[in-house]
Amino acid sequence: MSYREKVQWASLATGLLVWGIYFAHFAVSLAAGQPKPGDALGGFISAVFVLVILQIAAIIAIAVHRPSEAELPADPREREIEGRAAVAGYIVLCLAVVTVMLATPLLTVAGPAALGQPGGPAAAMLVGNALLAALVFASVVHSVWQLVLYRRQA
Amino acid sequence: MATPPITNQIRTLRFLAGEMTQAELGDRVGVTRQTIAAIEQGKYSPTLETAFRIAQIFKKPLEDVFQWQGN
Repeated sequence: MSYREKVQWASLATGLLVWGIYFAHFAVSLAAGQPKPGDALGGFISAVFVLVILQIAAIIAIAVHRPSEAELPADPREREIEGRAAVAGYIVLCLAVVTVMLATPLLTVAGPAALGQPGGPAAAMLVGNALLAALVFASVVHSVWQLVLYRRQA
Repeated sequence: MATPPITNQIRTLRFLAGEMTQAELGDRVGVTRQTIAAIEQGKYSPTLETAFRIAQIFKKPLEDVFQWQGN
């Protein structure tokens, strides 16, 4: 397995772990009917911080194991795989953002009403997290598609 | 993914070049060992530049290393 494929596995695993925990907490607070925008923002900042730390640690661990490969730039096959996966991720991101846009009435009116909260902060929190979910989903597709392409050529 | 209609003699040429390893060839071409393995197995078509670099290392013309099998 090449250095860049290992980095993709680490990126996918850490992303799924951190964002999985973040959205699970968010879902629990929604189910309890007491989501607080301040808590959600704090959770988001913590998630980004933890994700960056975990990914840096993982990349350092992989690079220490294979220092010669880590110093090399991506070769043409790796650049092609990255490019094809980026296209897939971009298409998914576009579709997800359009879906969030179409769901805006639900997120800004029906959502806060169901939670029994005033529209402003709750609506912003719901729309913000829906957009974040779209970004995370596109990022997961980007990583998974790269891994699929790497495995097909292994 | 469809198999590219290109065959190659890299495995044979590596053998004739003193059992050169995929990693050694990769280092000299400037690609990873996995990329050499993918090219050798016909799972990936190299760029023109990579193909010329491989042929140059074996001191062979391009058509002695890679053969087009398509229509």
